[in-house]
Amino acid sequence: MKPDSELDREIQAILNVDPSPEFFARVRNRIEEAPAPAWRFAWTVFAVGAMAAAIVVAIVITRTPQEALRAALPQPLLNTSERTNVPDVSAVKPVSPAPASKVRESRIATESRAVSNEPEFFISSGETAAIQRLLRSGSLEQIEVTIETIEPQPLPEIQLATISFFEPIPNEPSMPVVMPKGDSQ
Amino acid sequence: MHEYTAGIVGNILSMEQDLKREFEILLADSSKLAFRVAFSVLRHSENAEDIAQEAFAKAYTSFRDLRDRDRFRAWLVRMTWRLAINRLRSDRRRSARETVTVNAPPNPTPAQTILEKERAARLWTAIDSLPDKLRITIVLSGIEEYDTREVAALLRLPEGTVKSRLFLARQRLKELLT
Repeated sequence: MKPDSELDREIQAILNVDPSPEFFARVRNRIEEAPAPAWRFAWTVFAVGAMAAAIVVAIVITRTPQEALRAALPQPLLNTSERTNVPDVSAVKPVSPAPASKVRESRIATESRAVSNEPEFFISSGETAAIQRLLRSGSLEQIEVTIETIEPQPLPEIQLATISFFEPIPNEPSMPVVMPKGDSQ
Repeated sequence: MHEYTAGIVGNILSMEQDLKREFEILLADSSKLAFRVAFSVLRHSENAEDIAQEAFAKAYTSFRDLRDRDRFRAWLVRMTWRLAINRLRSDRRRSARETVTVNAPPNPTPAQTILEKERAARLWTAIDSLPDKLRITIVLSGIEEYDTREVAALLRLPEGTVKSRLFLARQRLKELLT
């Protein structure tokens, strides 16, 4: 058996080999010939991206806010907001001194057209029509509010249950208990 | 706008130069380590240089994540070891393998040289028969007289694990060499 130090010395001796003097130069050449490293590529991409972003920001700033807003919002979102939030007031005809029946007909037609545009699962047609009436009128005066009053009904008399008398239950064993011998304690 | 762009490009180029300089420093610092790790597996100087070069080339491509010295050296050791093992497996069919060149004392007699070569060959055979985990631990501890702490840092292992692996490796080597 060899002591540890001797073994370690031997291992160190066999590993004490140096590369050739040209090794450094060869590694440098290899690196120069190697394709562009990932970080260099990443920096290039970053620089190009930053410049593109700067150009886009400059263009957006120079445009009018309205156009910019329209361009920034995606098309489906625009349609949805138009359909859900803003009632189609432009479709409503201006109030004219026409007979009452004609006015009512035109209102119903307008309301039904507006209602057909509404998503019915969120706002009921009645509510939509009421909101549109409110928007058209521009005041709260024309809205009729009816409050139904319910007269209180007399409550039925409460009858208390009569408590009947229960006889006490005898607490006695049904069968005589027989103790085994020698087990009296 | 043009000046701004030129400034960005200039900054990027200077950062690239900095990274290159850092890499040169680490290359000078770790070239022996990579070469010796490869040599411990391949026992062929030219092949070991090739493998070390390959490992450095790989390190350069992902150098942005390896700027820390300890991290770089640990990564380099693992990469060199893996590349060397792969090369050894692919070259296994080659029968001729360069004999070990050991730094011998000055002017040795032919008899001494033969004895040393034989001893070195026996030791290499014993080291080769160790499992990979024990082999890399004993090899790293033999390179440049690394202590347990440094080997643990290179292998990214707890110091206690390295100590127990070194103990086991020495035990097996002693058994094989007696």
